[in-house]
Amino acid sequence: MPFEWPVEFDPSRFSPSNVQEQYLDFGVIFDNFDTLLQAFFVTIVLALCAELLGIVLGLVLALMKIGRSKLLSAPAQVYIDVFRGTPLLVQIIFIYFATPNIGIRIESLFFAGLVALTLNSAAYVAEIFRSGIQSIDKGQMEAGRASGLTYAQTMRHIIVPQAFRRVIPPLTNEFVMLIKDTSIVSVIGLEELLRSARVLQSATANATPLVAAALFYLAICLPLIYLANGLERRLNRRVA
Amino acid sequence: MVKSLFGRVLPLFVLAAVLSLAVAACGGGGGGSQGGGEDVTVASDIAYPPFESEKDGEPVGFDIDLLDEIGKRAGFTPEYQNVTFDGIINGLRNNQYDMAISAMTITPERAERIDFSDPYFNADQSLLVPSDSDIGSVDEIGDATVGVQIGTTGEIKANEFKDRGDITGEVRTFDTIEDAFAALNNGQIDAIINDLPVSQDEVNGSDGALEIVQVIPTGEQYGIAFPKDSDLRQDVNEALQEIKDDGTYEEIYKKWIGRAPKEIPE
Repeated sequence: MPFEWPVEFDPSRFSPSNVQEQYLDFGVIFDNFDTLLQAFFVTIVLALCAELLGIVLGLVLALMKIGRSKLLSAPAQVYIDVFRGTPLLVQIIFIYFATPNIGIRIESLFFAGLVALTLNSAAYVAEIFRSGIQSIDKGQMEAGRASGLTYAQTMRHIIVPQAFRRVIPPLTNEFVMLIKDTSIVSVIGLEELLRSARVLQSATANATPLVAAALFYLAICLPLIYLANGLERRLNRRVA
Repeated sequence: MVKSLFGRVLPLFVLAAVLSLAVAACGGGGGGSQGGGEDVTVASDIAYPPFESEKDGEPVGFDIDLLDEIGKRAGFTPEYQNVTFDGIINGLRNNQYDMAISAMTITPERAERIDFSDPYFNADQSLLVPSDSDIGSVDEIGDATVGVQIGTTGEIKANEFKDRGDITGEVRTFDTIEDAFAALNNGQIDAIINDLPVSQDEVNGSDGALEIVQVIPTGEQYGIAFPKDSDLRQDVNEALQEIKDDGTYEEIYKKWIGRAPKEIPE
């Protein structure tokens, strides 16, 4: 078989005016700005809810995992492995299209997406908390125990509050990932930012809605990324 | 040191070799060859029975039989590429495919961007619901959730009903009609607006669980799609006319739709 380079380039279409027309057709955006804005809110609310619930569940998982009881740490480990070791896309499709087979049906798309994103992010958050907690000097636990606190009390009043400060930068990064991951929920039909842009792109045969969606993602993610970097630098200075 | 460096680089070479082989293998079918007894690249959303579906890894269906027959007469071999429906028009405009057959309705909006063959199928839209549903017609949808496939005339129609106020609930888009059927069967949506023959096919395989409660007459016609000014269009139209005239069309129709066509599209 003769080799054919699988990329074609059509110089006639690669003109500045065509690029502008295809990617920056502001008319398309102005006509549909409400739709896109609404979809952007869905994305933000979904990510925020999933992050908050993921932090709660993730903290529980982290505490289960670092505890001495195998009865608690083994299930936590299995959970974390499963959710970190399978693609989010598979998890979403499974939760929406496959759980009804055994009688668990989630009717609300938003809720289905929320469940999938929460379960997924909890696994990553758990690992962030675990490493945060384990980074606290052993002496803190010993000091707590020596002053008469129980293991649980020491955790709650001494270790976890200190760990919380250290995990804020990685948690912020996790939140950025989560915002971007909400786009994967579009496969089940939720009209978040990406699906909304795709519906508009297919209706107008113009790529500008996709560009607009990308700009929305950037507008929310970039500040968070720089915030996380700044927090990390400040934390490092204090530790050093 | 030398050995470990080699050990690190070798897998990269193997990976590169495998990748270039894969690229070459795909490239063979993906080229934009035109005319003659050549392979032509045909885009299709191969999840739309009875028009296209997959059997033993090969595409089958009404559209496939029809285009294979057209190719035989016009002197080309269709190489089918499975793509999502909403990507077809864009791909044709960018010359990623030589043509597309995907139960695609000829609409004035689409015809502005791509060219169509003569019509090859008369279709209507339909309202599909579970058999135990209270919904008996479009007027009764109210705030129920209606599923459609992204970029289809079903989506356009559903949004028309929404604009008119017949549908007050959500119109939910899915990437493939199969996803929408799955959501309907799981009770996650209440109804589907989609091409009649495809919904009918789903009803036939549903053991009475689904039914079509309304045919939405749109009088739409499917066409084979081409990039603007394609040389292939003329040849395809001539072959298509032959097929309509000599009875082959009826044969293919009966095989996939299960009855004779009421009329052959002009």
